[in-house]
Amino acid sequence: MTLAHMEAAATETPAPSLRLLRSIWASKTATIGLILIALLLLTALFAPLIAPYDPIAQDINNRLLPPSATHWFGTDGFGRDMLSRIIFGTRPSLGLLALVIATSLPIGLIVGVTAGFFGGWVERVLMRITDIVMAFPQLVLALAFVAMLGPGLINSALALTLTGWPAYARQSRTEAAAIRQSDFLAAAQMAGIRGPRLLFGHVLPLVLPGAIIRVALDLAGIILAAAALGFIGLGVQPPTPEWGTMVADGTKVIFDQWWIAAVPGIAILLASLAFNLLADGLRDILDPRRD
Amino acid sequence: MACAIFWIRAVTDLVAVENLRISFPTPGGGRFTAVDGLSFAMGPEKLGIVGESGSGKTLTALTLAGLAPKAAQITADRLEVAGQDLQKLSARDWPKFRGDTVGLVMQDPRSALNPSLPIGRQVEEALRFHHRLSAKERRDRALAALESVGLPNPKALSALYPHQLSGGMGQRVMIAAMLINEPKLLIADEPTSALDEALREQVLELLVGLVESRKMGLILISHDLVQVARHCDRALVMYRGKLVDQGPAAALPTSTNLYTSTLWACRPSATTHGHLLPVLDRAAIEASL
Amino acid sequence: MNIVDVAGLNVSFRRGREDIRVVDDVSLTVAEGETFGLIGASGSGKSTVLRVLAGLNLEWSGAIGLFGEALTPRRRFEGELRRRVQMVFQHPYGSLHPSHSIRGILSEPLIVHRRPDVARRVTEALAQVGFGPEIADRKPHQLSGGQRQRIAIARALLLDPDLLLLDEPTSALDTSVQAEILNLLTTIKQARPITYILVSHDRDVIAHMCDRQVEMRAGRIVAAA
Repeated sequence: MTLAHMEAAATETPAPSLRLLRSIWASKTATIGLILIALLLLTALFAPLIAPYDPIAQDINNRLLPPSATHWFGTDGFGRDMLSRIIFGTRPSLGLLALVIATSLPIGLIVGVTAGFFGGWVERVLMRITDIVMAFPQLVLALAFVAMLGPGLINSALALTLTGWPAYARQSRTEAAAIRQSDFLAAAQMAGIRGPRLLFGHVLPLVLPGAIIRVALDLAGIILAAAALGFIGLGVQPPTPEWGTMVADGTKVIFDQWWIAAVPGIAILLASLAFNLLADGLRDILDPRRD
Repeated sequence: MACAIFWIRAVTDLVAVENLRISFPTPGGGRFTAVDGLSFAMGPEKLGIVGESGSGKTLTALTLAGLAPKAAQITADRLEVAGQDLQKLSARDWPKFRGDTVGLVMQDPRSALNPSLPIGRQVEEALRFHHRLSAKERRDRALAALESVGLPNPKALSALYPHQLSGGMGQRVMIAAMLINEPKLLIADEPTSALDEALREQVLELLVGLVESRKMGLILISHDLVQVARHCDRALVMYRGKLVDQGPAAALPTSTNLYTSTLWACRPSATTHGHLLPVLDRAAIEASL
Repeated sequence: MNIVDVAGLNVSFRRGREDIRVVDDVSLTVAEGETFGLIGASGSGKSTVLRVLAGLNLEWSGAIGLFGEALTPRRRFEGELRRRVQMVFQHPYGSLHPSHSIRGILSEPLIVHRRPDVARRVTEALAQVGFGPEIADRKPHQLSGGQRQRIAIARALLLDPDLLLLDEPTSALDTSVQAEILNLLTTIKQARPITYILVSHDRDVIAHMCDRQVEMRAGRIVAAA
């Protein structure tokens, strides 16, 4: 759009957030992704109401049954209904996702904004720490943490958080440093606005949108990382159903009872596909080359 | 008699535009008309298009060069340059047409030049697409072009990269590259706005001199009334997409049109010191459109 | 009384191993109530001088007197001093925070300086620059460039400053809008005691607005006109 066009249309543009929502609706990939994610969320929330059986109720007489009318996805080695376990399996996955985002994003933002805003040696020290953490492959470091702390949902989340925050720190550092040079900040300083009021009221609102987009792009990866930890046996512990653990269990009987590994595998695929679609759509929307 | 008139018209019309309308879709779902019913014609003369933001002047220039944004919807009863109907040109035809017939010089030379190629190469590239010449002939022509825009030591200069040039030099290189294929029409959109005041007159005089000596047409788009009044033969004044005034460029300062006269009078200067400047009565101007 | 007294001001910053002198031995005085102009091309150092006087650039050496008090380098402007000097910036698209409403933008300085009657003062500030109170609910992206500059001027005047620094306030605006903004500045100055320092590359704007001016080139003062 030319500057002239923007100037002339300046009196009645809808707010940026509304425009973003409209853009998401216009992008089919983003919309499909959002719908799938909504379905996952609803499944997790209403699991007890949707699942036909108790996911941890064992029934040894009916173990390793193939998919049928009574058990849509069959049963596993302990006779537990696969469909119910898949449904309940959304909870650890999404729970882990929420925990990781809720902790790594604030840590990354605080480190990055502080570094970018104050500059000097503060920035140097914080960024070197960030670089060191970032140098390790995330999953390997997460493995080490879990090995030290013991398996389980909280510890897995902690491990992924402690290794995941650097990306957000780097991005917000760059944005905060750019904002430091801006006229908005200079104007705020002229008005005597300082300290927390400046950081939270002026810098953070400008850094947050970029960080949220970054989070959206990372979600699929976190789902996979959670499943990977589960597969190795370091995630949520049995009998709680978790897709990664279920795949691991299924590999033992994969040639005869293929559904025990395949069904949770497909669930993981669909979940990360949903987040990937959202991220793809968002990437398209934010592409500056779009007219 | 009608044949004679038709013939004269065909010969004098380097550019013929009738009822040009350009609109864009708006975020709200409607359409915004950026150029509304513009009609004008010009021969091999110097035409200035004057206007402020939102007047549609830049969009008009881009349209004549085939560079309007994809989202723009363009309709016209007539849209011709050198006898070619622009509405019939395909995407593949445009690059050749742009070099051969229409040249475009824009505000910031640095955004138009490729930062990773030396400038001599870039001037030669302009030739490559349009003529079959040997490498030596291309190089000679490129050097001649650089010399014609007053750049000293063209051979040494050809090896430099765009970031090593000053603004004024960069603009001269752009002009050289645009003129090397000897187009019939040169469109210059705010060619001196990004330059320091001292350089503006120099570069503009160079441009005008080259256009006159090659008997080309020039469309000079500018917000600077003084510049247009001084250097152009005729002038068009645009406001919010419409043509509101036209006439000899030298008559701009004394135009009786409300918009033109206010635009001329509202410029600050030493003589207006201490006084309030006249301002646009937008309501009255809109009413008169 | 001289509101501003600058003698031998130097500002340089480090690039790699070099020290680049952006402002080189600049001396000037600005009398109370006048409009003082600083002309120069981009890179001449004029904006840096302004930013030093605004307290935005704290790394400098030399002697600066503001309102009769000597300034110390590296010392932030606090309290009354911070209130008495205000600035209007060049880019209308860059100085109003995009996430805040106009009301928020105008209220915050008053809140930070603990002024009573915030709502009334905001309405008065808007009226001063030709707006009715209804514009307070809008956000910057809904205003045109000229409208935003008016809000920027309203904000700068909120705390009743004695010195207003103007950094190319109309360079990004059309000629017709520029005339409106310059008229606004002239009218404001006629209605209250205030001193302006105006920086611009446009000689005509400086000639129209200023009582006295100096020219800068490559960090130094080259002519007093």
